[in-house]
Amino acid sequence: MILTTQHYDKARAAIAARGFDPEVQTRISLFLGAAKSVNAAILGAVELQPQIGIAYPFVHGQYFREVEFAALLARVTRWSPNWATYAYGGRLTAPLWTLWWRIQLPPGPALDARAAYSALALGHALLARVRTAPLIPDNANEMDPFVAALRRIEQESGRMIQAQIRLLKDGASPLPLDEREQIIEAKQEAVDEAFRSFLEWLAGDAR
Amino acid sequence: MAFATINGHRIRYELHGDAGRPLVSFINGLTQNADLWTAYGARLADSGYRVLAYDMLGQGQSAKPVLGIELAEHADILAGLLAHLQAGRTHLAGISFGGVVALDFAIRHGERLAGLAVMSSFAELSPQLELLGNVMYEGLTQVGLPYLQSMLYPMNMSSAWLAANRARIPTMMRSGYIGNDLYALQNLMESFIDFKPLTPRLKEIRGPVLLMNGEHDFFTPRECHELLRRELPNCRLTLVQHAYHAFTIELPDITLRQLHEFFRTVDDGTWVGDGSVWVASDRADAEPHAFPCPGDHMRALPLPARRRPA
Repeated sequence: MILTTQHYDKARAAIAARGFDPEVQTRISLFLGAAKSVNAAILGAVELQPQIGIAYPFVHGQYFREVEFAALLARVTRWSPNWATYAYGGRLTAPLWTLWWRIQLPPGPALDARAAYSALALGHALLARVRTAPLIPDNANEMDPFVAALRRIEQESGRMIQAQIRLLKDGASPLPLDEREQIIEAKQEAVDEAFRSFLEWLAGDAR
Repeated sequence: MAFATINGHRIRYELHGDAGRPLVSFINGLTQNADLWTAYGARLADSGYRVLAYDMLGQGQSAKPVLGIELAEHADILAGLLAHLQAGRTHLAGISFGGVVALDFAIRHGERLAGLAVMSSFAELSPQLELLGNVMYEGLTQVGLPYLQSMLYPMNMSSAWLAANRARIPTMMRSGYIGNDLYALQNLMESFIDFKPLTPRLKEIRGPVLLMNGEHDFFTPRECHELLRRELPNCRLTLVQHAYHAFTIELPDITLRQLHEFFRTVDDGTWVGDGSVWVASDRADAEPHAFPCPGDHMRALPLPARRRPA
C-alpha cells in the first residue's frame, strides 16, 4: 500500500487529541531510534570500503550524527511504563533490522557490489522516507525538548541524505542502471511498508 | 485516481469529463501535483471538455526515480500517457517547469497538439533565472525541502494572497512536504544541468500558442515570455494583471477564463496568432476577456510605448 497524506493526517490527529504523552513519545522514539540505529550500523560497515573514496568524511560524519540522534531521542523521550508498547514497537522495527541483516549475509557489502549498493539504498530510504516532522500537530509546543528533537532530526536528515544521493547516482558501481533503480525501489517499498505500519500504530488503527 | 505504467514508470493521473470530448491536458510546476488542477478539470468538464492532469515523473504519487530523470523523459511520458488513453490531439497547458515540458512536447510531439498554453515559463535560462535556480537548488540540498517551500511562497504569490492565506500556509506546506520527496525534486532540478535552450527549435511549433505572464512575475519575468513571443510563429502573449508567478493558484477564475477562450477560438477556427500582446481583464466574467496592451509591455514604469519588432 502506498504511503499517503491520509496516513500522516490520521496519526497527527491522534497525537493532537492526546498530546505528546509518554505513550506517543515512546512509540515515535522506538521507530525513529531504530531507523537512526540501522542507518548508523550501515554507515559503520560501509565507511571503510575503498569505493567510498572522497565521500568518506560525509559518511563518517553521518555515522556520528545518527548515533547522536539515537542518543538524543533516548534522552528527551518520556518513556512509557507500558511493556506492551516495547513489545509491539519491536515487532514494527524488526523489518528495518532484517533488511540490514539480509544485506550482510555472505559475501556482504565488503565483497559484493550488489550488497554494497543495497546498503546505501537502504540508508537512503531510511533518511528519505522516515519523516516525523509532519506528525507534529499545529498546536504543539515547539520548545518542548521532544518536539525540538524531532524538528532537528528531520532537518538534518534532509541535509545528510546528500551523501547517499551522490554515492547512489555518481559512485562507481558495476551494476546496470535498471538493477540499481530496482534495488533502490525495493528498499523504499520495504521502508514505506514498515513506516506505514508505524503511522497506523500512532493513529490507533493498530494495537 | 488512476495509474498507468508508461515507459517503465508508474504514472498517476486523473481524468475529468466524458470520453470523446476535446481533450485538455495540464502539466504541473516543479513542486506541484495533479490535484492542483482539480477545480480546472471540473469547470472545463462542465464546459464540454475532457481534462487530463497527472503527477509528473518524480512528483506526487508517480514513480520517483532516485538515479535521475532526463528532461526529455517528461514529454515522452506525456506522449505515452496519451497513447495509453487512446487520446487523439490535445490542448496542452503547462506552468513554469511544466511550461518547458509543454514546449518540448510541442517541438517533438507536435502532431498530437491542438493548442498550447505556456504559463510563467521559459525556453532558455537567462542569467537571472539560472542564478535564481542555483539558489533554489542550494537551498534544497543544503538546508532542506521546507526551506525551498518557504522561499517559493513569497516568490510566487502576492502579498494580498499571502496575507489572506497566512493561517493556511503551514498546512499547505506540510501537505506539500508529505507529497514531495527531496531527492525527487532535486532530480527534477538537476535535469536542467544539461538543459539545451529550446529557442532554436521554437519556430517548429506551428500550432496556436497562448503565452501567459503575471504582471509582477520576477521569477520568469517578461523577458522570458518576450523571447517566446518573438520566436513562436503563431502566438499571442497575455499579461495577467496583479499576478506573480503562480497565478494558476492565486487567480484560478481569471486563468481559466483565458484558457477557455483560447481553447474555444482554436477549436472554432477563429484564433489569431499574430504575436500581439494582450492584458487579461481583472474580472473573470468581464467582457471582453482581454484587451490589447496599451503601453510598452516590456516596461514596469508607465512610460509611452516605443516601436519594437512584432
